[in-house]
Amino acid sequence: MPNRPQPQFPEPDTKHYWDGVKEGQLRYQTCNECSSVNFYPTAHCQKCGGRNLTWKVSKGEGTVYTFSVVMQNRIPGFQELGAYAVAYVDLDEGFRMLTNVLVDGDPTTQVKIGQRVRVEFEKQDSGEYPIPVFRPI
Amino acid sequence: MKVAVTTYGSTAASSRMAIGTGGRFGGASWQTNMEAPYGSTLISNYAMVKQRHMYQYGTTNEQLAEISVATRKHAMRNPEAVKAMTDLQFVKVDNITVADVLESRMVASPLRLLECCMVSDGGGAAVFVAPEVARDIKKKPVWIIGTGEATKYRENGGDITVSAAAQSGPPAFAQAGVTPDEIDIAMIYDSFTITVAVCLEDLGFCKKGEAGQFVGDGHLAFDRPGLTLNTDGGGLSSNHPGMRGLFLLLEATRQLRGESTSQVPGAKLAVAHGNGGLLGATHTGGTVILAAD
Repeated sequence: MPNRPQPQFPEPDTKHYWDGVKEGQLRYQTCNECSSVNFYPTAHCQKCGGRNLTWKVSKGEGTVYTFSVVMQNRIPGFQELGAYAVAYVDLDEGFRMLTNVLVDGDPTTQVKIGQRVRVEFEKQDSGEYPIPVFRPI
Repeated sequence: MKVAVTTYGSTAASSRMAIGTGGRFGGASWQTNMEAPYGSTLISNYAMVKQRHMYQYGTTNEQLAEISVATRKHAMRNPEAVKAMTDLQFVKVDNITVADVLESRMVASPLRLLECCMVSDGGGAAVFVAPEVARDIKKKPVWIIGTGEATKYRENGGDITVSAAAQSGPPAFAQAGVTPDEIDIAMIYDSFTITVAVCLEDLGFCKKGEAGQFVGDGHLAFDRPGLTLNTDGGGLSSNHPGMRGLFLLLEATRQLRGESTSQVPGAKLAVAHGNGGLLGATHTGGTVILAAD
């Protein structure tokens, strides 16, 4: 299994998000005051500062906004992955997340901007939290 | 207050700091919890901006490589840059071509080695004085006539090809009372080729999305008509100890005093623009307009 860094706690803003990941849910927030989609998770709305946020569950599908295939990384847990694609994915619900797009072949030719992708909760050797990554649909 | 000094130094190369290819660690925070699992290096942040810029505007690798070619040309005329490249055991301490850039190894696609700044040791200092003091100093003064600063964040649905320079540039030019087409030389933090391209657009030297065409004709070199870039050799080929803002101000000052090793004859107006943090994610922009008497 992969050995990606785990989220660290106590960290109040993202705890509910990661609890969701454990249950196979990709959670995000919307603001009850200005209706904007709030992501990364925070205690207050990043647009209007309101503290009245609602947690929702994403369908987990989105589009690759941009990506880069990393060839050189000194971080433990990534060296053994070989070349891997870091990407921003725009989820259909209107939030953008940093993630990895996994493909079976060469990521430099198989990952593309505009590609439709779906979330997958990848189990880790590094700890109890799976990591949400994406694969082309 | 009449006199202030700003100084900076680092031993990034001697200390073998993995500035671009290491990760950012630290205690638990909402940001590290959401980003650390994905192994996004500093370079891959900039690379994602380049990837999107190429997709959105048709910018090519060949066009952006001209930034590396021009800065290397300047570096080869700067003895300190040549020494730095030699000490750091660059494979080729010589002028480079667009083909050299395109054939260099991929670090984080689509950014190749010769599009990435070096990691060196280095340091510098600048003395800032009140106008009445400046009139009596030994060296010819250079005037700061406009400044601007801004911070920008990753945002849902945002355009990552737009940098903080779009906010820091306009107030600096407005305060200075000059326009980009009057500027003789631009010292722009060339952490990567794409940083320069995006900042040139955002500062108004060309329209958004047109930096590829703007830099692609090779005019960034000091001996070609048009805007000149980073005459000390830049972060790409002279020094990059981790943060480059001070060196931008130093080389702009040399130009306006007529002391650069790649001097633009009669240079009167310069812009120095620093970009800190991670382009495309949390980053800052600082713009300074400088003028000779």
